[in-house]
Amino acid sequence: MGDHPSFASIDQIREQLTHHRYITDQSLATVIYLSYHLAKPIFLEGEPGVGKTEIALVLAEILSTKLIRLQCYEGLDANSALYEWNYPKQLLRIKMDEQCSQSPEQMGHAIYSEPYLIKRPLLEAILGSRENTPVLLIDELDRADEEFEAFLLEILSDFQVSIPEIGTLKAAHKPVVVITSNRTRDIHDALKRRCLYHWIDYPDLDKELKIIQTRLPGMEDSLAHQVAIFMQNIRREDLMKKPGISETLDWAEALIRLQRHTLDADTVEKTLGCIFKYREDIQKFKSSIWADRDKRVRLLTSYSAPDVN
Amino acid sequence: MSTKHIATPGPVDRGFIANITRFADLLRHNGVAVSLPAVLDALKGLALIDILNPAEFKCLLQVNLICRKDDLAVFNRLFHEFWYAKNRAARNCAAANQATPQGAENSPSDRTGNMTQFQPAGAEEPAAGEQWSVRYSPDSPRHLRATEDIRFAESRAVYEIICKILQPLSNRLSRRYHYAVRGKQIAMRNILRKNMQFGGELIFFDFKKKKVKNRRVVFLCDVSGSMDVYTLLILQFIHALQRIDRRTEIFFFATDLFRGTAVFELNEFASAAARMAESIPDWGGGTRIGRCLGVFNKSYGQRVLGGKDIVVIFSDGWDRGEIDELDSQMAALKRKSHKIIWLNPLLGTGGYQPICQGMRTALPYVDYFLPMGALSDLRLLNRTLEQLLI
Repeated sequence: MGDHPSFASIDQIREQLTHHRYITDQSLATVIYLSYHLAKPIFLEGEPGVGKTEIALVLAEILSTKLIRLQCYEGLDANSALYEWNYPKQLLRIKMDEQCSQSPEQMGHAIYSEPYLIKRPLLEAILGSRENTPVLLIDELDRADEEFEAFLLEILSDFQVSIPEIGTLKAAHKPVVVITSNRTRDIHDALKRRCLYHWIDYPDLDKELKIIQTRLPGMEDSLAHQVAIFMQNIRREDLMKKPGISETLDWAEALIRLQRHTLDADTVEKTLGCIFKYREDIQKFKSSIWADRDKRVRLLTSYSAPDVN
Repeated sequence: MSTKHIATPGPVDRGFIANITRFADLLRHNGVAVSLPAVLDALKGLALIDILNPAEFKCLLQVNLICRKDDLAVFNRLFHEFWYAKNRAARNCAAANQATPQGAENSPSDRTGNMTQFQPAGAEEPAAGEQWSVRYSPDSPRHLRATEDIRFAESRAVYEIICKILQPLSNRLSRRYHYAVRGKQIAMRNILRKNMQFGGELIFFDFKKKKVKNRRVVFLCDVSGSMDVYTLLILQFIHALQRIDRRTEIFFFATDLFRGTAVFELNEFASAAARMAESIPDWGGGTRIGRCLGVFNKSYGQRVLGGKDIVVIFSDGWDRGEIDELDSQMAALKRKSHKIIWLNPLLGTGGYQPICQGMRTALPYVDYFLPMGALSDLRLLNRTLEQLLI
């Protein structure tokens, strides 16, 4: 890993993240700083929609390098994560060369060479590190099965892979690795031990407001305030799926599209689908939260005038 | 790694390093799994951060030493106690004393402490007392039926039924493929290698198909006083199950958790049962399901339980412990397992409603809520499990 000037200190990382429109706190910046200098993967856990995946995108932007993404799913195996030979292409080559009298060795060399290799994300990360160290995002690891976790353990420890036909390939520099998990199941401790663990929580009011303002600069300040306050309050309720920051941004954007300047009861009711993703939550919101006058007033509080309604 | 000279943390004061290792020890004694490499990494990181900045220092320790969200609360508390302790003496003896008195008290988790405040004091206890008497009513018809069945259960017939019950349980299709002579997908990798000798003419074919994975059953069996009558039947069931699948795990709980897998390895049920009664100290005691599940999740959950396993809890749901803890532990268990089956011996009794606090708390996390007091209930379990199979 090179010594990128943006990663010289924790404050600089924070500055860079803000510059790339990712608002974060000291702790996440510290984790990134440590991960970069200790060459350990970052393991991010948190509720859906709090910006786990986003951090990898932003890191790639800051380092001005490639982002390699491996989306996990059950049954993901080495063939689709690491490498595979391009069999149809190999067969065609064999057929085409039937006329020429090539020795089996030559043929072997020809079809087991790099043009016939399909590079999957992990191999790409290993090979890519020779030039500009890429950012490797292993997304939603909790969806993959344990066999894959074990396989990953091996790769993450030394970023080295042996392909029988070619030989051993080793990363020149360890790439920046971001692993995310939604915590639908626990990841094995052996894997977590090799990473720096960080839990991303829902943002507080100030942070949420800053995020809205940074991401949607066109939004009026008073409306942004109202949206942030609404979201902070709604997360205190007992819901099946609490809205994350991505829901906040979706909703805020929807409000801009609808050309609203203040948050009123009617607007909220019409745009509930941006905030809640479960029928039960919408029902609960309508029956017990929205119907309760006190709660409703609290939700619609605006920053400048706390006693609207 | 091109990081700056971090191999020997030379310039750092020895006392400071000793303090960090002591702190790691303190975490370990409070139930947080801290590995040696993690401590080493934390020490390496010292050279990278501004040690005088407490926030950075805390973050360094946190990201290196903690790898579970549940441990964060313990970490935060201990960090404060340890590094901001007014008397340094406490810090020095913290590790030596294994667990400080207050550490031991709070050790399961900070959450318990916090949440008890919200619970109306004593609200659960009287209710539990009332229900206790109901359950111990000597002339309960259910009671008689259960004991009759137990005698029957000791015959071979029960084994046969049990074997049938367990048949569908054992398999599930994985999404992972393996090579097979016959299958739905062709395995190009193998085919090409095999046919290389014919100059690329494809003569032999290979296939791959989905792997069949065995599901494992993990039993958590309540052996508290209120369950005495019903336990024998389920123990037979578990014993028979373990004959079929050796990976079956059995845990007993009352006020404490006890791993009974080794005891059940004895082939004769009678001798296994005798050994069991000897080795479980609180057999027939009170119940603290939440706490026991907490112990299970913390110490065995990672190793014993995979995401595809089926957890069977056999209990009447009377909990004398903290309800909030039960709630959070059930949620954790749900995340770790494929399905949770709760067998409740009272469910079969006429007019039973899961109104007791413990049962009510646990129910939302339970996939199948079944009665289990008589042999006929085993058949019901059988039908449910057949549906359960994917």
